[in-house]
Amino acid sequence: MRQWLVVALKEIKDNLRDKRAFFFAIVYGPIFMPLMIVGPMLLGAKTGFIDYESTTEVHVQGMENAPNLVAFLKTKNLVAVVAPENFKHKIREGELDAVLEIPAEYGDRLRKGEPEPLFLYVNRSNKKSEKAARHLNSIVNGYSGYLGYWRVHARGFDYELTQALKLVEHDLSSEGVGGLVFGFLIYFILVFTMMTGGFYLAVDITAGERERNSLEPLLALPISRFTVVFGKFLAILSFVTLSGFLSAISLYLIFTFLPFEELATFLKLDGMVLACAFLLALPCALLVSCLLMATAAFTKSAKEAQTYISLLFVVPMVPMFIGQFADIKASANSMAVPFYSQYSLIDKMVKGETILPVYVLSSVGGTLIVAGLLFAIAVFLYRQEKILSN
Amino acid sequence: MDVRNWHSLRSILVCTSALLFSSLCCAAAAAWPAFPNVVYTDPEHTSTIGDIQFTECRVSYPGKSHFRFLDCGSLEVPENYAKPSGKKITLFVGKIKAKGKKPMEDAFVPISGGPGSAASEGYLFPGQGFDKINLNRDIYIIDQRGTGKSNKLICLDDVDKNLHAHEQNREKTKQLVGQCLEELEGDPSQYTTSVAVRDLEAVRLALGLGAWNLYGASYGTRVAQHYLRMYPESTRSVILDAVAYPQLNLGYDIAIQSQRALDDMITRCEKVESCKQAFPQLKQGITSLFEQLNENPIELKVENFGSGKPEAFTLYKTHLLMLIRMSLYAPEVMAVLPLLLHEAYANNNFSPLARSAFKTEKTMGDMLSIGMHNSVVCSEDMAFFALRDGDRQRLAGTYIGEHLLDTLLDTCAIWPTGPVDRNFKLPVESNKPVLLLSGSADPITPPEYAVKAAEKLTNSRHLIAEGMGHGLAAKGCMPTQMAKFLDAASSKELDIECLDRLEPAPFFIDFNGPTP
Repeated sequence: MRQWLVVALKEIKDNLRDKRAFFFAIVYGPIFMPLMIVGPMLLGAKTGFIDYESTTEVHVQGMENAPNLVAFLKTKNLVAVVAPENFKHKIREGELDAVLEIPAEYGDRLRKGEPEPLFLYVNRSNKKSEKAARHLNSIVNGYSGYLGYWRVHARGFDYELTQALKLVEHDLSSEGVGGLVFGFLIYFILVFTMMTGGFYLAVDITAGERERNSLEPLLALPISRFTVVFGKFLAILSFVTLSGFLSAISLYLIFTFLPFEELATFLKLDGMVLACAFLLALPCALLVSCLLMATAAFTKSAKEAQTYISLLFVVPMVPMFIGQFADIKASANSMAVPFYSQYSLIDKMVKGETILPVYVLSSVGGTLIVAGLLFAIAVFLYRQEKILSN
Repeated sequence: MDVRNWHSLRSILVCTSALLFSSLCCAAAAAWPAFPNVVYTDPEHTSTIGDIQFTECRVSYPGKSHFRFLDCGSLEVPENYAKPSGKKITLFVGKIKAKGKKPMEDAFVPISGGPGSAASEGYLFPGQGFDKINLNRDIYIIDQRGTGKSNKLICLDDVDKNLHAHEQNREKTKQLVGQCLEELEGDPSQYTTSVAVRDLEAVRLALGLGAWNLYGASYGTRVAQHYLRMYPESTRSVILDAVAYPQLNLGYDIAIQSQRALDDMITRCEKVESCKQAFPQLKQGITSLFEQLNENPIELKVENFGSGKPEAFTLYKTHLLMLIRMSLYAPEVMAVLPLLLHEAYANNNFSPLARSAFKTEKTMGDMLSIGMHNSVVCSEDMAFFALRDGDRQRLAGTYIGEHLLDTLLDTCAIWPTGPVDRNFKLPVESNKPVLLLSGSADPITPPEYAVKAAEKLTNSRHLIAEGMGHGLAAKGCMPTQMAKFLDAASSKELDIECLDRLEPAPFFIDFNGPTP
């Protein structure tokens, strides 16, 4: 068997025995992370989404002052119920969502054609209350618009007169609705999981081995340092790739089995898309492995390695933030920046935009070059005698 | 929901009408065909579906009150299919892309009513009820031959003269119709439903699409039913909204049905205390109003909407007739009708009524292709219609009276008739999924028409909305239910409970609205 393969298999076997490392590589990253991040987001999207067509109860104070308004609400699927006595307290406490108050003089002012205030009690710090208020707002505004239009119409005037200008918007973006943050999310989860997947192994097989004094016999064997590094690198890479792959699968399961029809219409998150996202992110696996490897080789102890590598978790985010703030246009050059390119490409794909082959080439090329550099650094560090001294 | 939704009511006004109008249109030659109210925004970029090229365009209402960006294409078809090498006409084909990321293969095609209104003028703008369908399906906006942007058959007559000529004498009507015929180019007889469905199929084949879903409203239900009959394999499902059954000869019954709707409105007002108090003697009032206008049209100064300056305007009986007839189509419009009428007969305040009539007339003139309307009605309705004893007496008991029928008889006496397929007037037999929609207060196509249409549609379901008028697509939960129907290609799972929540808009008791 080839020497580097022996090294790689040894490290993989060791890592599989380490329950903590195993948990982080296989369970935490691929399963917990996506659930923790995507779950609440989907639920949030669901709670923020007003379903105008399902029957909703609204609490109304002074219902008897406006039977026709209440009837209108009902045609819009809002069933009015009498608000309790102490409704203000209840809204404050979050026991009640929102209350619409119709004053006694509503009818008189309507007859005179004077604007009539209705009062809406809401607790803006409470999501449910805020949503109920938005719902009521839009329906009551609809009624107001309806009355306004027909008041003008009944007098025989043309409502168009009140609409002096028309601003006709022409959205030239190709994404249309619904890119939302899912592109970012998929990228983030894939790359972040890769980091967590290789994290323990990387720390363990360099700094860890040195502390356990098992590195010295390994380096004393008649194999080149390059072979040692390559073997260790392959071990890390296999875990990094596996974690990434598992998280892609778990994302697929989440998007397939979590109920969120409203979003499904606007997002392409089928198996094909996630498979492509994983393939686009694959060069990151090489880069992440080399990054972990080089960093761990550079540190003196396992503790220090953990500290450094924890800081490294920010690295995949940096180009992306820069890209967001600086609004860098996609080009063959900008696509050569690792992490940023993967984020952009996955984002484009989720939004259903076109991806030029040159972008993909540039992304893969740029990432591999940086990975190669880091690998060279790791080899260089292993060639130093310092690698053995604490 | 916003105020713009109330604008969509205008398009309701443009339903089945037998009044004579005209509008302006322009034509020019360019790389892309010049269509009225169409601006090509990016003519360099094209996309192709089947054999039809599309490019981005901005389409507006004739009145420029709404705009929409879509893809515009066109298809040339022979004016007369029996002479394939003869004159060609250009059909407007618009495409509204599905908004979602996973569109279905089967497209959706809404067919406009009238006869004479155009899909590109009725179904492009907000509040039509197709937004939910558009999430998962491309919508093709195809103007039927002779309407809108597909070689609209228009006559350049003075609308006003046209409208009131028959009030003075029927000879004048004939003269105007004859003049109109002379102005038209080509062969106006070729604009019937039987030819139009061939066009539709030609468009589908040119696009290379599989079976698609049709929606027809009012006269559009006749087109959709005939398409289903002629091309069952090209039809995945059909929605019929405000249904005209195939055997129906539309024309004579309009006055009878409209009278029923007016009586229903009066009864409904009497049942509501506030309406009864505000407008006592509504029935007698309306009768006296007709008598008054019959004897003397009213001269009054009406503000021109554009300039704000008063203009002389004569309010004829026909204006009142048209306003009442058109108002009965939609409950929201009907809600202000008793007020307008009462204001005139009780307080001698004719201005709101006159201004409303003026506006309705203008809107309809913009929207209706009178030539195509005549070709359809004369070939498919009046050609099969014969007066029987007692028919005229029955008409005399309605507020529309014999005037509408006379206009149709006089028009069709000279208007050429065109192709009508042999089986055209027979009930359609099909097991394709069909959804039929009726409003119980519809003044022209009552629910019993839909029942007749459904006789041999073995996989159909008929939904009736109590108190609603002509056309349900945009009402309440219907947009969602229609989308569901298309998704499943079945009407079994629809939630019809939500239809019960629909209520006609309450009557205005004064100019500021209904009771609180």
